[in-house]
Amino acid sequence: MSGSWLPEDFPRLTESNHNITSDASPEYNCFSWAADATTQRWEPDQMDIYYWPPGVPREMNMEAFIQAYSTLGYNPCDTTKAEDGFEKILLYADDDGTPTHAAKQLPNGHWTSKIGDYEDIEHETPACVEGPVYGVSAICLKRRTRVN
Amino acid sequence: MAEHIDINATQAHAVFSAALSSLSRQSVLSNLQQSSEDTYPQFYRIRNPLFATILELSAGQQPSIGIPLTNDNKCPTDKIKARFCELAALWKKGRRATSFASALAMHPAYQHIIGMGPDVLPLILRELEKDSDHWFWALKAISGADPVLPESRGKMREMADAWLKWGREKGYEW
Repeated sequence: MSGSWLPEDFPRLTESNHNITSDASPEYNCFSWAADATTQRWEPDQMDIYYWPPGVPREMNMEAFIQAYSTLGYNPCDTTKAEDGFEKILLYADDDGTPTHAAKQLPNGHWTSKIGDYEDIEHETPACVEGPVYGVSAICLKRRTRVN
Repeated sequence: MAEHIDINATQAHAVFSAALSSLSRQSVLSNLQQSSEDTYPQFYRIRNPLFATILELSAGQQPSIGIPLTNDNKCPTDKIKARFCELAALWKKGRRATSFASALAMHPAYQHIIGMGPDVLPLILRELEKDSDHWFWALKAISGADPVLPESRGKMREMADAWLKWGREKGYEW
């Protein structure tokens, strides 16, 4: 099954390295998905339309995004390898270093991404969604796993 | 490439949203001229048609997006509806997998819709009532209003409901 996105936007996604795990929805985006917030879009837009954590600059730079996830207890880390007792978020960026996407690590070491307003997917590695739209993975964040 | 680009006010309004209005025309053009697939890979497909549209306007041509611009608001309602529907369809068709709604609002068709002014507000509200979608940028840019409570920001259905309530209170019918 293929998603709603254009295949050329994600040249590294193959049938064997990802699974679609939800229907398409504009109700949340990748940044809120990574933050476990599926009823609210996270975006530091200058029109002050979408949610952005209070006190964090509404700016399109990596510092602002790191600060946004720090409000949830995430801090930069050195490796994308799965670590027992930790959950991880990976921020992607374009050539300018501007954030483009966020993915969250699953307990099995795979990653989950919300693709634009389209479907959520589980992908094997961070590189699966790299390409012309999301650029490359840039900064990994982690926090101790929280038990709800 | 022309060094001096002249765009009349109506055309400029149709192309640029309130988000860009704080920038001088030259700085916008300079920024767009510097854009390239190398420096903005994920936005290139969105910025490039906008840049092309500006260049077409600067040369006195109708934009190749296929929707003629008008210089007044005297179009009959059915023409406004038809133009809006065509632009909305172009906008939806031209979407990519961007993570940012603000990038979707930079699409030339979306900018044209903003440029059509208050006449399209009931048409946008009708779209919003049918389906949660990213019409909030256009609603805010056109109306200057902000009926969404801070705690509802980012919650698509609550934002839509706030705007629909605002529209009814303002007497719009759709």
